[in-house]
Amino acid sequence: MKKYARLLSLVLAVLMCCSLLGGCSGNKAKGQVIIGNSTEANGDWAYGAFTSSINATDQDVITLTDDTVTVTSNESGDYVINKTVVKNYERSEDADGNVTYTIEINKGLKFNNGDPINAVNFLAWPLFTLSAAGKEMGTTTAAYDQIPGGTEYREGKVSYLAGYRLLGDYKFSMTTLKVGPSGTAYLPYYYELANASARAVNLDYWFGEGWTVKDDGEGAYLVKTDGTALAADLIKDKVTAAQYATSDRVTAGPYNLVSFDKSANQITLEVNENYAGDFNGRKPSIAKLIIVKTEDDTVIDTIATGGIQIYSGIADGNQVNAAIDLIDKGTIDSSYCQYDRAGFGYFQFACDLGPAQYKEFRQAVAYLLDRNEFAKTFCEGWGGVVHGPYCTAFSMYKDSKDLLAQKLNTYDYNPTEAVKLLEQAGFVYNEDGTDYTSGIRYKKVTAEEATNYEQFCKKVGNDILMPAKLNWASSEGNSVSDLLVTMLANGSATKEAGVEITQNLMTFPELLNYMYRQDAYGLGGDYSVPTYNMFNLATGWSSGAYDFSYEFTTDPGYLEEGYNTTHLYDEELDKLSMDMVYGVKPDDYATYLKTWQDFVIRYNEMLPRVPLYANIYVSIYPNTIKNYQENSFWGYSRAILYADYIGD
Amino acid sequence: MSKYLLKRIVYLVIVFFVVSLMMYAIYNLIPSDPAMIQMEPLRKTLKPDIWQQQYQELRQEMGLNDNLLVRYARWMGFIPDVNGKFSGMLEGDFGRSINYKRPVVDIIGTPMLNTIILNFLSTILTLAITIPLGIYCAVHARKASDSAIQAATVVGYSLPTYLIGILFIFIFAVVFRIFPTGGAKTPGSSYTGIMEFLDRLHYMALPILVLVFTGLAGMTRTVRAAMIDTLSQDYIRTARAKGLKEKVVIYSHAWRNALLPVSTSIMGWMIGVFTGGSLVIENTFALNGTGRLYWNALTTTDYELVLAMQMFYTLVSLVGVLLTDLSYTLVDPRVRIDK
Repeated sequence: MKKYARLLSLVLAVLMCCSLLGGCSGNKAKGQVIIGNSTEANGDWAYGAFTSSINATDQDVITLTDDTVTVTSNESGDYVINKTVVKNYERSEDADGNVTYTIEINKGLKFNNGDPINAVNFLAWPLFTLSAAGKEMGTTTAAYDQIPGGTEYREGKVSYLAGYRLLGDYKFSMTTLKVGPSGTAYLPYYYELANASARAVNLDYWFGEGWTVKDDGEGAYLVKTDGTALAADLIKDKVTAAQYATSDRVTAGPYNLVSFDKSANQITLEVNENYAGDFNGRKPSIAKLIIVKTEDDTVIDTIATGGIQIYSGIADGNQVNAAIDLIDKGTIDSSYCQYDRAGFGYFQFACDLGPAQYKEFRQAVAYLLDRNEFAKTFCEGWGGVVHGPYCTAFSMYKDSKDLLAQKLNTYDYNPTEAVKLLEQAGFVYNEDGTDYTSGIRYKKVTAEEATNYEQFCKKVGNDILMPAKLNWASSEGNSVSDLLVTMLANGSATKEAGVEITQNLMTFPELLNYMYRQDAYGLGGDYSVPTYNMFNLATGWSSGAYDFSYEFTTDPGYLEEGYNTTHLYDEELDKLSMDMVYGVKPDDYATYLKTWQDFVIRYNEMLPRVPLYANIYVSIYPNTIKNYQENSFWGYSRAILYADYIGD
Repeated sequence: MSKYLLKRIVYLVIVFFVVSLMMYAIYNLIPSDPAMIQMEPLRKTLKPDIWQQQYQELRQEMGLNDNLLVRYARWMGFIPDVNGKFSGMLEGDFGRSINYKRPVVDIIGTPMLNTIILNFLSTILTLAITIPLGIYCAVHARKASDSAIQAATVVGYSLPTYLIGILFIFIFAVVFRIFPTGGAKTPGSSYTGIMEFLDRLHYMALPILVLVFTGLAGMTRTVRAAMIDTLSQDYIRTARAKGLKEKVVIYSHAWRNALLPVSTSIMGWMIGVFTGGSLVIENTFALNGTGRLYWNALTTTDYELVLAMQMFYTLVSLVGVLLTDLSYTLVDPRVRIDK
C-alpha cells in the first residue's frame, strides 16, 4: 500500500509539474493574425532618417519591431517617459534657459539577438544622423541647431556632439538650447519631452563591428574601437544593408521581422522573446503577424473570404457598411471598433486675395454650405463636423467641450445670415455700381484691396468694384471637390446670395504650387502671383502634439518661404499659435489649455479654413482575439500589443 | 545583312537619344520641384530658417539650380554631376527614386520579374487557345460556330478589364472559393521548391485567367484573318486539287504562310505585354508589377523613376521593332535583308 502511495505521489508530482509547465506555456504568445494594409511598404527601416515623410506601413513595422525608446506616446497621444526603459531621469535648466535631460536606463534590456542594451545604443543613432557623415549620406535631421555644438558637429568641424553626453554604461544626457545658433528659439516648448526621446540601435548591425560611442569630457562621438573616426565611406554600405534588410534585423521591439517579401508585398513578424515590454510593461500575446497589401476595390471580398482578419481605419462609408454587414450576417467571425479620426477635411481661403480678405465674406461662405449634410453624404453616415482646428480625441477638446459649445460659431446652414454678412462686408452693388438687385454682388474697393484680383474687378467711373467671387483651385479626381461643386459652388443658396465660386481643376502638386506661391522654388512664373483664393485639403495628427507654430506667421521672410498659406495676417492668431507651444512650460497645462481655447475660438471667428468633415474610422478584427481597441492615436501597430489571443 | 544591321543600330541609338531628350524636357516642363517634394513634409517639424537652409542645400545637391540642358547632360552621364562624378544613364546609374529613396535599378527588378512571369504565362496560354481557335474560325468562316466563337471572345475584348477582374473575383474567389482574391502567395507561408511554385501559381491563376479572357478576341481575329487570306490563295486551291488531305492543306500549307503577319503581331504584342505590365490587373489583384510601379511613380511625381522606366520601354520598343523586322527572314525565306 505504501508502495502505491509513493507511486501515486510521484504521479501527482509529475502531473503538477506538467500543469505548471502548461500554465507557463499558456502565457507564451500563440496564434497568428493577418493584417490588411492599403499602403504598400517601401521596406525602409531607418526610422525616417533619410526621408521627409515615412511610409505608413514602414512606420507600423518599425513600431512593431523597434520600440525601445526613452519617450513614447500613450493611448491618448501624449508623450510619456517609457518606464520599462528609463530607470530614472532628471530635468535641469541652466542659467541661459537651456534644458538637459539626464537619463539612466534599466539594466537587463536586450536586443532580439541577445546583445545587451546600454547607454551607447541610445546615443549612436543621433550621433550618426546629426554627423557630417550622416549629412553626406543624406540624413534629413535638423535637430542640430537646437543642440549645443550641433551645427559644428553637422559641418564636420568637430568630431564630438557637445550637447549629448555619455555618463556611464547606463547613463547619458541630452541638452536642448533655448536659442539655436540660427537665432531660432526652441525653449520653452510645451512638448519639450520629445527632445528627450532616443532609440536603442544595435551598433554592430547598423555600422558594422568595432563601432562604439565614447565621451572624453567634451561630448559624445561615434568611433571605432581602434580609434578610426566616423566617415561616410566606412559605414555607408552597412547602413544601406541594414536600412533595407528583408529579414534578420537586429531590433528591440515586440516582434522580429522574419521576412519582407517585396514580390508578394507581404511582411511576416514573429514575437521577440527578448522584449521587455512597452511603457506599461505589456508584451504581445499573438505569436505571428502577417501584413499583406490590399486593394480598396476588392478589400471587402478579401475580408469576406478570410484573406485578411484585421483591417484598420476604414474611412470609406460604403466599405464600413459592407464590412459591418459581413459581421452582422455571420459571414465572418469578427468584431469591430470605431473612433473619431484625428484630423479633418476642409477648404481654406487665401485671406489676402479678392473677397476672401474680408472676414464677413468668409463667414458668409461658411453659412452657405450645409456642413452637416455634407459630412453625412461624404462619409456615408460615418463622420461628423468639427468647428475648429481640433479633433474630438484631444484631451484639450475634452477639457473644453462645454466652453467651446458656448463660444464657437457652428456656422449652421443659414443663407439669410450669409446675405446679412455679405451686406455687412459691403457687397451691396450690382456690376454697374447700382444698388444690388440680382446676380453677383460687388463691393467698392480700393486699388490696394483689388491687387492681383484686377482681372475680376470692374471699373465704373472712379470706383473699383470687386465681385463676390471665389477662384477655387481644386484637385482633380477628388470626391470632396465633386461634392463641394454640387453643394456649394452650384448650390442654389450660393447663387441666390450673389456669390460665385469657380472651380479650376488641377493636379495636387500644382495646387500646392499655387498655395505656396512658389516663386522661391525655382518655378517662378504664374505660381508666384496670387491667383486662387480657395483650396480644398485635409489635415491630421499622428500624436497628441498640437503645434500650429508659424502657421499664421506675419513675418515677411517666412511668408516668402511659403509659411502661412492662408495669408491671414492676424497678429492675435499668430501670437496665440506661437505662445501655445513656445510660451508655455511643459508642466503648465492650465496656461496651455487657456491659450489653446483662445486660439480655437479666434480661429473659428477669423475662419481661415472651413472644416468640412471628420470621419469616424472603423476597424475590424477577428474574434480569435479580444481586448483589441484602436483609437484616434492608437493604430493597429499599438493596439495589437494589448490584444489577447484566445484562439478559435 | 550586317550592313543593314549596323545601319539600324545607328538609327536606334540616334532615336534613343532624341527620345531621351524629349522625355527629359517634357517631364521637366511639369511644374514640380523634386527638392520641394522631399522637403515639404518637414515644414511642420523644422523651424523656417533651418527648413530654408536645408531646402537650398538639397536643390544644390540635386543640381536643380542649373539649366535644363546641363541637367539632361548630367542625367545621361555626358558631364559629371555636382560632386564631380559621372553618374548618368550611360554609366548605368538610372537615377534615384524620390519615393523609395533608392537607386531606380534596385526598385524595378522585383516588379519587372513579376510582370514578366505573369505575362509570359498568360501569353502562352492565350496563344495556345487563340491560334487553334483562329484557324478553326477561318476554316469554318461565316458558319454558326465561327460567329459564336467571335461573339464569345469579343465579350472579353469589349468589357473593361477592371470589370472582368472584379467579376472573376466574385465568381471564382467569393462564390466558389477556388482562388484567392489577390496577393502573390499564402500569407505567412514559407514554402520552398515545388510547393512554393504551386502556391504562387495558385495566386496567379485568377489574374492570368482575366488576361487570357481579355486577350482572346484580338489574337483569334488576327489568326482568323491571316488564315482566311491564305486559304483563298491559288496554291491552296492547287493543293486541294492535288487531293491532299484537308489537315495537310491547313497546317502544312496555309498555316505556315499565314504565320508571317501573325508572327509579327505576336512579337510586338509579347514585347509590349511582357515589359509594360498591366496597371488594371496589378491593381485589382494587389500584384507588385511594373504597371503599378509606373502609375505610382507618375501620381507621386517620382520622375526619376518614371523617366528610367520610360527609357527602358523606349529601348525595348526600338529593339523590339528591329527584332520583328529581322524575324521576317526567319519566318519567310523569301524575305532577304541585304541593304
